[in-house]
Amino acid sequence: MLSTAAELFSSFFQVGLFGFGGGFALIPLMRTVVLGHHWLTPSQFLAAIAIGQATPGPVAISATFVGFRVAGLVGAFAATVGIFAPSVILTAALMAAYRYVRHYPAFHTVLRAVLAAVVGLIAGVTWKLGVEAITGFVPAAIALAVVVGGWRLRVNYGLLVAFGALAGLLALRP
Amino acid sequence: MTEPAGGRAVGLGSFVMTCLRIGIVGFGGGYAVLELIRSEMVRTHRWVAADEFDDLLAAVQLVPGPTTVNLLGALGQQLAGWGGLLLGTVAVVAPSFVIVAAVAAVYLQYAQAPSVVGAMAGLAAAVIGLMLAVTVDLAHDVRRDILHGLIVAGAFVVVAFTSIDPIFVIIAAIAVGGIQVALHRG
Repeated sequence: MLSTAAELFSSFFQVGLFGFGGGFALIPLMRTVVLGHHWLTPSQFLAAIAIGQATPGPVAISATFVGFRVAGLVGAFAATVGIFAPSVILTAALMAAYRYVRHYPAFHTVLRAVLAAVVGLIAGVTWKLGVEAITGFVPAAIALAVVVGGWRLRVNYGLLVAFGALAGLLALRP
Repeated sequence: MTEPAGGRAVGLGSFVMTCLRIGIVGFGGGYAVLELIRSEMVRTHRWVAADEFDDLLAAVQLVPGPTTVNLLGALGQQLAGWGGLLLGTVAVVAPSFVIVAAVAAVYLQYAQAPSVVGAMAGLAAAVIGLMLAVTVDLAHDVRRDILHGLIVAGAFVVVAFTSIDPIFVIIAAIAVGGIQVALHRG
């Protein structure tokens, strides 16, 4: 139990440490760690991301779901602390150096390359998860509606996932 | 209680309470929550000036992890010191932790129920849509040249069609950026 908790902590710490580019950038890294350890099946991982998105807070909170599934509350705590700890430590480092970093162009050159990688990574993981989630016309229509709502109309993400759950409840019950 | 815009001496307690509220009502992450934080910090409490807020938002892009969490940590440090950074982060994450742990317990119990399966399938499809929207949005900020286009394409191929750890893609991108910096200096 404790060794599982330690494994959850260190794995999610690693995810948090390399998750440049905001919350969604964590998804491809999380997927590798979670499926690599056989902590969840691919469809359970999809559920973990969906629940992370449907609840308040950043999508990184999906780590809590994974930890809970693997090792109960202790696991949930270990995974959550693990994924957010690098944020706290590195934000502290950033603020300690804030006045120097602020307008230092080298950081922005590196960050520009990282952002390009992140766009490719998120697109890639969307492809992988999409193959599992888009199983027919109705899921495709839901995804399309959300793309239009989220990108063009800037509808609140919470409302969009609520719409998806409701549409699924009505139209995708087995 | 009124504080001057750009003021430094914000009580730790009131900052943490504000983070807690953002953690409870901040559904979905992304722009909606950034707007919520902006309105709380700049307009409601007037703890920071708008341009100072934008500078911090740009700076936290340098740090891995969720932008909203890092932004609140940075604001906490500026407004209420190191305690503000640590406790602000804990306060914004704690409500999500409790809710997700509770949802996980219930979900795992009823994961096979037809209504849950249906709702989850719809939710998953919606998340795919959201991820596409986020990809398109982020792609706007990618520099339009061959190098950055190749990085995007390479990263996509690695994740979509290989089992290489995406961390190596991030490390490679940092290396490419570092080489660019070195070449411009040399």
